[in-house]
Parts: sequence; C-alpha cells; structure tokens
Amino acid sequence: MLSFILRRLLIAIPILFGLLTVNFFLIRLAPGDPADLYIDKDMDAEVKANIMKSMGLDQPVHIQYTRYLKNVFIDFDFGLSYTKKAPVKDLILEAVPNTIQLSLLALGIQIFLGIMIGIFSAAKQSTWIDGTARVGSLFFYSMPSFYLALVFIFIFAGGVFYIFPSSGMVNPVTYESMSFGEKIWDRIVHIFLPAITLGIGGAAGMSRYMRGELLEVIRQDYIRTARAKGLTETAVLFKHAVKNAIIPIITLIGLSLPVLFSGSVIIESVFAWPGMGRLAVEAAFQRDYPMFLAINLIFGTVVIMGSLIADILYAVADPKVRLS
Amino acid sequence: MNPFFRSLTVIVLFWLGMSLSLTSCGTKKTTTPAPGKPRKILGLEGGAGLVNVSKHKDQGHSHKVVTTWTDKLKKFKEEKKYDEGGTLVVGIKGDASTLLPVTAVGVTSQQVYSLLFLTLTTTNPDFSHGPGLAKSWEFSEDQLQITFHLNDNVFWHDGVKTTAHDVKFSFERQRDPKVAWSAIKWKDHISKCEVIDDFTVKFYFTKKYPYQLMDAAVGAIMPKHILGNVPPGELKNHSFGQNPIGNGPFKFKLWKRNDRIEIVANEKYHTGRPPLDRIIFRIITDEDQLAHSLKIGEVDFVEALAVSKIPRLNKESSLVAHVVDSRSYTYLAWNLRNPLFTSKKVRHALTMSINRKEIIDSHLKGFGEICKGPVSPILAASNPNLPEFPFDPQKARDLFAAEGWRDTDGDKILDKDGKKFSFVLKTNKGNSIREKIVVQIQDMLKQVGVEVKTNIMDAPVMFAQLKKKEFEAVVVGWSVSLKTDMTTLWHSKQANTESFNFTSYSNPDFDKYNDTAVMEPDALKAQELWWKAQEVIVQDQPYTFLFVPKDINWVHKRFQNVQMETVGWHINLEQWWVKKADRKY
Amino acid sequence: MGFVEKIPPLGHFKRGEKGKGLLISTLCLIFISFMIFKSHLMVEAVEKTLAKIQGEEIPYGSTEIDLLISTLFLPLAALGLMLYSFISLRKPVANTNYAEGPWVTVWRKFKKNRLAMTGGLIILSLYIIAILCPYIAPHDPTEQFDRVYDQLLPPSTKHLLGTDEFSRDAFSRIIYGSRISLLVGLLAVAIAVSLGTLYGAISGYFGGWIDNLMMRFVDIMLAFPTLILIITVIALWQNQSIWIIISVIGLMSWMGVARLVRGQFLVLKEREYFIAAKALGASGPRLIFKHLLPNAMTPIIVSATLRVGTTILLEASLSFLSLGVQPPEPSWGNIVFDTKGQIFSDTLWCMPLAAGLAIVITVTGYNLLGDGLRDALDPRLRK
Repeated sequence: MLSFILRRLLIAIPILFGLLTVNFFLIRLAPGDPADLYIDKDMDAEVKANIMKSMGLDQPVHIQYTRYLKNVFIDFDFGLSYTKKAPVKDLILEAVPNTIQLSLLALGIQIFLGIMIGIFSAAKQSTWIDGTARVGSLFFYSMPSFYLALVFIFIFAGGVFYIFPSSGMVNPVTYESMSFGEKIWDRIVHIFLPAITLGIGGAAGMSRYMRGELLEVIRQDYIRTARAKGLTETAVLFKHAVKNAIIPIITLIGLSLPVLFSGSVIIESVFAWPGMGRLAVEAAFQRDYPMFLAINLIFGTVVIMGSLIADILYAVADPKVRLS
Repeated sequence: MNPFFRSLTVIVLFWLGMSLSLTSCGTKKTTTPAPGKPRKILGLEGGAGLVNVSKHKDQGHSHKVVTTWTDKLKKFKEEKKYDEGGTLVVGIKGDASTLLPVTAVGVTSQQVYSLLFLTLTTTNPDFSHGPGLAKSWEFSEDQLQITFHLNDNVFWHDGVKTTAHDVKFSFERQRDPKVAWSAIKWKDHISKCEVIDDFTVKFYFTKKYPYQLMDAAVGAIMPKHILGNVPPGELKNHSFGQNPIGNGPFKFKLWKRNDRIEIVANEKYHTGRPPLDRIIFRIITDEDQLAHSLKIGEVDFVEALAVSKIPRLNKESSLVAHVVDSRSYTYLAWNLRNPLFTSKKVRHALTMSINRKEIIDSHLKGFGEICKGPVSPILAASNPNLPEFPFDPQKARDLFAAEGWRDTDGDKILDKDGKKFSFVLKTNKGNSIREKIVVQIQDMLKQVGVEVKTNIMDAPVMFAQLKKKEFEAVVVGWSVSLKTDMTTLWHSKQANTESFNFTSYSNPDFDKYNDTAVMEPDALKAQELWWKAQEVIVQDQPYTFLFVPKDINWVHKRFQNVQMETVGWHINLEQWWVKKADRKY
Repeated sequence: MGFVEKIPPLGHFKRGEKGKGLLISTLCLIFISFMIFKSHLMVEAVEKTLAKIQGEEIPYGSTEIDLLISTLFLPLAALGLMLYSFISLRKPVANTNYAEGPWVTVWRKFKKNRLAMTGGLIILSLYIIAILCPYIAPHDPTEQFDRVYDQLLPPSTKHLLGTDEFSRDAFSRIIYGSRISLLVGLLAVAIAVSLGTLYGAISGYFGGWIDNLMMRFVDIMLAFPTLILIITVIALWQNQSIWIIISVIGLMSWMGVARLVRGQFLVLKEREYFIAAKALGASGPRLIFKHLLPNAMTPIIVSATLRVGTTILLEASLSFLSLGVQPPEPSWGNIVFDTKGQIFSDTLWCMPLAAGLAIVITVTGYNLLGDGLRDALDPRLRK
C-alpha cells in the first residue's frame, strides 16, 4: 500500500512537470504583453523597460523557463503576482482554504444527497418516487451550475425570499465583532447557497450511479439468501445491499474533487466567493503569468491527488482489490 | 505672473476588465417619439430620492490657496452638529492591487489609498487647489520655485510626525524610474526638492508653465521612516503595500483579498476624526450582483453603476441617486491607415449614420450628452460651437455614394472596386455600456450598408493592439484629467510610432495650434488656440465622438451630508455621518 | 389487406405500431401546417432564389440562404415521411420467425425504454427547430426594434418572452440559440471522438513502450483543469469565432475517449478471432479498422452521446463568462449572461429562466438518449 502511494506520487512529479511546461510555453505564445497592463500613455520607454525587467520578461524565453522551474521546484517560490503585486504563494494560500472549504462541503452534500436519493430510488424501484427521483436527478445533472446559482439567488437571496446573503464569505460589517458561535453561524449562512449549488450536480450524478449499483446488487444471490432468512426489507437493504453497492461509489468521491474544484470557477464568480476559482479567471483575463501557472499547478495536483485518493479508497473499501 | 489657464488633457486610466463602467449622462429627453408610441424613457422618477449635484465647471487653474471649501469642512467639524459612529459599505467591482500609492494600479487602489494618505494640496469641487498636507504655499519672484508650508500637527498612523523629509523622500521615489510610478512624467520639469526646515519644503522648476503647482502637488506623501531604507526597485514588492501606514483621515485595518478592505477612522487626524467609524470596501465583480446587493442592503454605496440597473433600483426608497458629471467621454476611433477610413467624407458619413441620441436614450437612459469634440464639456477649454454631424442616414448614403461606395452585387453591403465595406469593431470586456453600444452601432451601420463584425476583448491586449495600430475601429473612452495637453492623442509626431495616437491622426494645422497653445501662458489666447485645434479635429472626424456620460452614484439615505462632485465621490467622505437612530451597524 | 391498412396513420394504428404512426403523422402535420400558415415565407424564398438565378440584382445574403434551406427542408421532409410511411406499410408485420439483425435488436430494446425514447424525441425536435428557425421564430434574432421604446418590453403576444436591452425579441433569440448549442455540441464531440479513437487505437494496437509513452501524455492532458485551460486559450488568443471555440473544446476533451478505446483494444487483442486474423497475416490498418474498431464501437457511441451533453454545458459556461460566441449571435449561454440582471425584475424574469431551461432540456435529452443507447447496445455497460 505504502509503496503504491509512493510510486504514484513519484509518477505525479513528471506529470506536473509536463503540465507546467506546456502551460509555460502556451501563455508565452499568446499575443499581448502583461507589461501593457501598467503602461500609461505618458510613460517613457525607460520605465516600460524597467517594468519588463522587474517581471523578468526581458530575458529570452528558455532562460525565463529554467529560472521559473528552479524557483518553483527548488525554492518553492512562485514569483510575484503581476496584478496584485504580492507573492503568488501568499495570495494562493489565502484563497485555497476558502475553495477547499466550499468544495469539501459541496462534496459532503453531494455524497449525502447522492447516496440517500440513490438508495431511496432503488428501494422503491418503478414507483412514482423512483420516477421522480430519476427524472429529478437527471434534470439537475443536466443543469449548468451558473443557472442553478442564478435560480437560487432569485429564490432564496432577495428575489422571492431573503433567507441567505447573496454573496461573500462572512458578513463584512459585523464579523470581526462576533462571538465564536456567531462567527460559525455566519459562515454557515454564507456558505450554504454556493455549496449546495456546487454539490447538487454531483449529487444528481452520484444518485444515478448509486441506484444502478444497488439494483445490480439486489439481484445477487446473497441478497436473496438474506431475504430468505426472513430479514426485513430495510435490514436487507442497509446491512447487505448498500454495503456492497457503495464500493464503486467510493471511487467517485476521489474523482469528483477536481470536478468540484473547477466548478468553483463559475460558482465563485457568481457568489463573490474569494477563492481559487476567481483568482484563476482573473489571472487568465489579466495575463498574470506567475499567478496563472501556479493556479494551474495546483489544479493539476488536485486532479492527480483525486485519482490517487480514488484508488486508495477503492482498495480500502474492497478487500478484493490489491494495489500493485 | 501666473494667470488662469485653461486647457484640456487626457490621461488614460486603463479601464481594466474590472474597472468602473462609463455610465451615462444627458438630461434633456427630447427625442421625438415614434408615431403612435408612448414616450417613455426610464429615468430617475418615482421611488428613489434624487440629488442632482450642482454642476461645477472648471474655473481654470489657480495657483492660490482657495479655502472656501476647506473653511466649510472646518466649520462642520467645529459646529459638531453630527453623531459619531456608523459604517459605510462600499461596493466595488475589482480588488485593489496594492495600497502603496507609488506602485498602485487601478481605480480601486486609488480610491482606497487616497483616504489613507494625504497629498500636499487637495482638489476643490471647482478644480482649484485647497490646503492638504500643506496649509499654504507661495511662488518665488521668478516663478521657478514653490515653497510649501506644511501643517505641523499631522501624524503617521504609527505616531510619527509627518515632516518635510517625507515630502522630499516621496518626490525622490516618484521620479525614480526604478520605481516605475505611472505618473512619473508629471515631475519632469521639477529639478529638485529641498527641505528648508521640518515643515517647509521647496520645489525647483526648470521652466515656467501653467501647471507647476499641480505637478508639484501630485502624488501621495509616503512615510520615510518606514520606507526610507527600502531600495527603490524593491518598493513594489514591499509588504507595506499590503499593510499601509498613512496619515489621512482613515487608518488601514484589514484586507481580505477578493473579499473586502476595511479602514477605520483616524482618531488623531489633524482636523479631528471623521464621523464615520469604518468604511468597508466589498469586492463584488459582477455588476448585476452588485446592483442586487445594493438593493437588498448588503452594500450602502456604489459609484457609477450602469444605468440599465436603474429601473430596478428606482423603486428602492432607501436609496438616493447622485448624478455627477463624469470625467470621461466615449468615442469610436477609426484607423486612418485603413483604406476604408482614409477619406474624410466617409468618416463624416459614418458619424452621420450613427444615431448618438438613440444610444444615449436607450443605453444611458438619457443620462448623457452627445460628445461633440475631444475636450470634455466640464473643462473650460471646451469649444461650445463645434461643427455637428447630426444623425442623417440618407445624407450618409449620399456621401458614401459620392465616394464610390455602392451596393453593386446586391448583398446589402456597400462595395467599391470589388471590396466590401466591412470591418471589425473592437471594444474592451467588462464595460457593459460599451459592450452594448458596439452591438447597437453594428445594427445602425447595417442600415446604411456597412458590415460590422464585433470583437470584445480584454483591455490589456486591446490597448497593446491599438498602440501598434492593429485594429480597424474601436469603441473606448478617455478619462479626462485636469492637466497636460492634446499632444499625446493627436500630434502628428506620434502618428507613426507606437503611441496613443491610435488613429495615426496627423494634421499640420492642429500641430500648429496645439504647439502654440501648450506654451501660451495667457488664458484667453490659449483658449482661442484650443478652440481652433478642436475645430480642426472635429472637421477631420478621426473619432466619432459618441457621448459624455453622467455617473449615477447610489447611496443609502441614512448617510447625511453627502456631497459628490466630478473630482471624486469621496471628496467629503470625512464628513459623511449617520444619525444615531438610523444607524444600521 | 384492406384499404385502411394502407393509409399511413390508420394502418399503423391497426398494426399496433401506435407510436410510429403518431410520430409520423404529427411531424407531417406540423410540416404541412408550417407550409400552409407560413406560405408567404416559402413564396418569398422561392421568388428570391429564382430572381437571383436569373441574374437580377437583389440582396441575397446569409439570411436568404438560411431561409432557402428551411424552405427546401419542409416539403422534402414531409414528402419523405409520407413515402416512408407508405413503404413501411407495404412490408409485412415484423415476423419473429426469422433471425433479426443486431441493429434491429438494438432498436427494439431502445424502443421499449420510454425515457430513452423521450430523449430521442427531444433531440429530434431540437434539430427540427434548429433547421426551421426562420419558420418558427417570429422575428429576426438580431433585429433591434425601436431602440428606445421597445427596450425591455414585458411579454406580450408580439414578443412572447419580451424584449432584451437591445430591443430584440427574446423568444426568437432562444429559438436561434439552439443552432449554436447543437452545432458546438455535435462538432466538438466529433473532433474529440475521432481524435480520441485514433489516438486510443494506435496506443492500444501497438502496446508496449509506445502505449506507455502515449498514455503518459494522456495523463498529463488529463491533469489539466479543462475549463481553466479553455478559458486561457480563448482569453489569451482573443479569438472567439465559433470555430475556434469548437476546436478548442474538441482538442481538450479527447482523452477520455482515447483511454476507453485503448482499454477496449487491449481486451479485444486477447480474443481468438483477432489472434487468428493476425496469424493469417492481415495488415495493421486492416486489423485496426476491420477487426478491432467495429467491436469497440458500442462504448464509443454511448460515451459520444453523453459527451454532447457535457459539451453543451461547457459551451454555455464559456458564454456565461463572456468567452463564447460573439454578439449579436445568440447562444443560450450568452442570452442567460446578457439577461441575468432581469431575473430580479417583475416582468422579465422569465427571459433568463427560459434560456437556461432550454439548455437543461437539451442536455437532459442527450443524457436520456445516451443512457438508453447504453442499455440497448450493451447491457453489461450498465452502471
């Protein structure tokens, strides 16, 4: 197990390296110059040259490249954000917890809702409950997240009812003076809408898988045996069927982490959530190269970690699987 | 002798993707309604209270200390007929870059740091100079030196006194190319800055010109005791920008990236603490979301919100709209190097095909005026009698035909020598008004047989292309500053270089008027020359000047003594106050 | 056989093929009623085309070509349907005595799946709507009515969903928006699937170090956050023509298919029939295209169908970040983006809701269809 994880982590390094390389040259091939962001019409060529120099853009590309790699892999330094004028590392460290918070909560919602609906649907197979659940989950699965966000804001954040705040992470005015309990509550109120918007699509997908798996399991002999023993239907379902059906679902958990992370790109813009997704969009729009490269590296890491987690979870959950 | 001087100029405030949108202006709603249709333009009627700020026109540039405005501030604080306390939540579209004035980029940074740091002088609503860090100043006999007398009771927020050494230090950093201050040119004619004593400082000029005071005073003063040992090149990386210590009416408190910036009242401010306890800048990038937050009360103030949000906000009786002359104008620039646009007649025809009144009425809801020329009407140098090119599609068609543009192959698009009249019209992303009028102009020109393809791009890339003249036509705007001259935008010496003369405009008549006007110290004579220069440009129509908008600033009605001016919405922010009973937080 | 059995809908009903009869007759009726009620459009299209052919100098642009295509489609489709129905009635009722081909089995299974059929119907009607846009939409989607007075009109009989900020008819825009979404979905997936299949086929067929190398590249590509990468490419290159968007989406989403095909190939390579074919000395391309690919087709088709749905969602998200098609071209994503502010207004909230709903319905349609195909094509894939 340990050697498997280590091996996978070792493989991850060249992959990340490749990702960084592709990205590095991709953005340098693109037209437009980040220095132009700062240049005023009254500015001299000398000043512009100074700006270019301070960004390291006056060097030939291959030197910029080796220098960048050295900084990232040896000094763990991602450089200075062009637009925010602060170390990229600090900015990202500030944003990452917010996105992780949001994604983890969304993941929780996704797992809970997805599995519950899946079980319900399978247990009541071919009834109207099943039908509604299936159509409903397909409907949400097919819905663009920005649209869902709009609808939620429309209904719950001031359009029809005003139950939840429409944007932000905390109440900016009163947060600092709140007691600990109030702070927690304030955060819950603010995270609720974005998290549910982010999680609901995945939940819909998961419930579809869960239902399918469960139906498959129910057909197996040992379920028939369990029924024959005279166990109640609920006992059969939860003690025997669900336990087995959930194994393949567990893989999904690892795989949906990167999906949630990229989903945050849109959700964070709509709900003004100060996380990675917004940094990513801004960096792309404003040509903030160092920021952009670092964000890509992190998103890439999340993807790789996601699939690693999926494999590990699978191995843990299913003793038949041997990692090699 | 330094008389009044008038002139226009323009400074580019790069309106990045995040920047505030140019909104609207106009007031008269005089379009004749189409027959049988009710005349209805959505405006600021009904619900919301409306304060139309009196119009301050440029009074020319005085080198004297004008204290009427300052006296008013003083009286306010002395009478003390206000309650202290309360919080203002300002909604802004983009995060700040850094709060160190000399390296900051963008509108948000500037808005925040101007509340944290003092400058030598302040700008009064009528554009004259009032006392700031300096309580008074005087010119030498030969007009080549200005001596500033500083207030001796100004403290940095960490308790150290602000002195003339700080002024000298700031000047040295501002003009150091390694720091790369974006307004470095303003200090071009200042040879040195000398500390006379702790509270007296003297600026030496290399020549005599109208904007000496403005040039000396521009730029915030920074603390030498903190930044003095930082090498100039390292300044922009310094953590001071994330945690600034200033000397202004408000103190920096906290900054959560992409979420909010909080500043609090400076108890030790030299003219007394401002009534408001706190100001919180909330970053909400989406304009619809911003309008919504304003409506439901999550935000108290938004500057220059797009007019399309009016119908929704208009019903909110808790909001007051302040209509302010904007310091910008929006135009459509034609690339004169493109064979399509080389003919003056064709450009006239294009202008006549664009119904500017309709643009103002539909997308600015009437809050704007047709822009006639390159000088904003808020400035004294603007020529009121410029030739106009009213909307007249029939005449436009005739002009096109006279220039050989006819639809010969029946595809509804004009052509000449087998070439279609078709071009790409660009504008920058993030400015909802511009994104809309591009589509509208596309449709208007279609009516006269001109095919327009649109391209909405990121601001930095677009400006880079514009400067390299890699465009056909573009809709953008200039923000008008109170200084400089028309050289940067129109002079023929810039026509063939990578410059802000995007259109490659070149006209010896204009050069002549401009060059003389720049050096002319006599106000009336200069004005005459500026007027002529404008006439030349307008006759040539290298731009189709579209409109001068009015900004609509929305503020919650619980705030008292709110006064907004063209020079800035926060001109008297240190006097806004909230009645104890109305206080929300 | 009586006379009644030979008349299309009646005959079908009599034979118990109710669904088929109903579908054919409804479609026919719809087409014919379009031809009758919108006959002026047909006349216009024909007249203009004839005049143009005769060399008259009249305006003839993309709008006219568009109209001509729909005009030709209407009678041809109606005629084709009628012919088909007559012919199908000639054939004897399906006889279970003889062995049915594989596609017949698939179709039979598919037909039984009601949800899948619904999906299929949704997709079919969407394509018909996309082709017949000029007949269905009451106005030109880019036409700006009186820009001052027709702005943001509430829904009425003239403007079913009201007008947007440019005084354009929102309903017509949503109808025309179907074209962009369907086009992007279809073409981008076509690119992704052909690229992925080719890549996976080569990798899977050769195996060994080639396979290893090629799959490492797929790993790198898979580690890219797709949405961010697409945003970057489009934002950096500043070219938002629909073809660029299609290609970028296509080029960024082939990895899944490549893995799928490679996996299939690795399995198929172990089968006896393949070993036999190889022993007989069949050439590489022949082995790939004749022996391996056809047998790997099932999962490819299913994943392609499901992928169209996600691609449409991706395009909508891009449009929502204003990185999609350029104005004034309507796409559902940019309609939602343009009108999202109206969601809080009293009269026009239905505008963004309707455009979003169009996306949801389309994607649902594709997902239903994909699920149905999977069940029908290969029950083992069910999961």
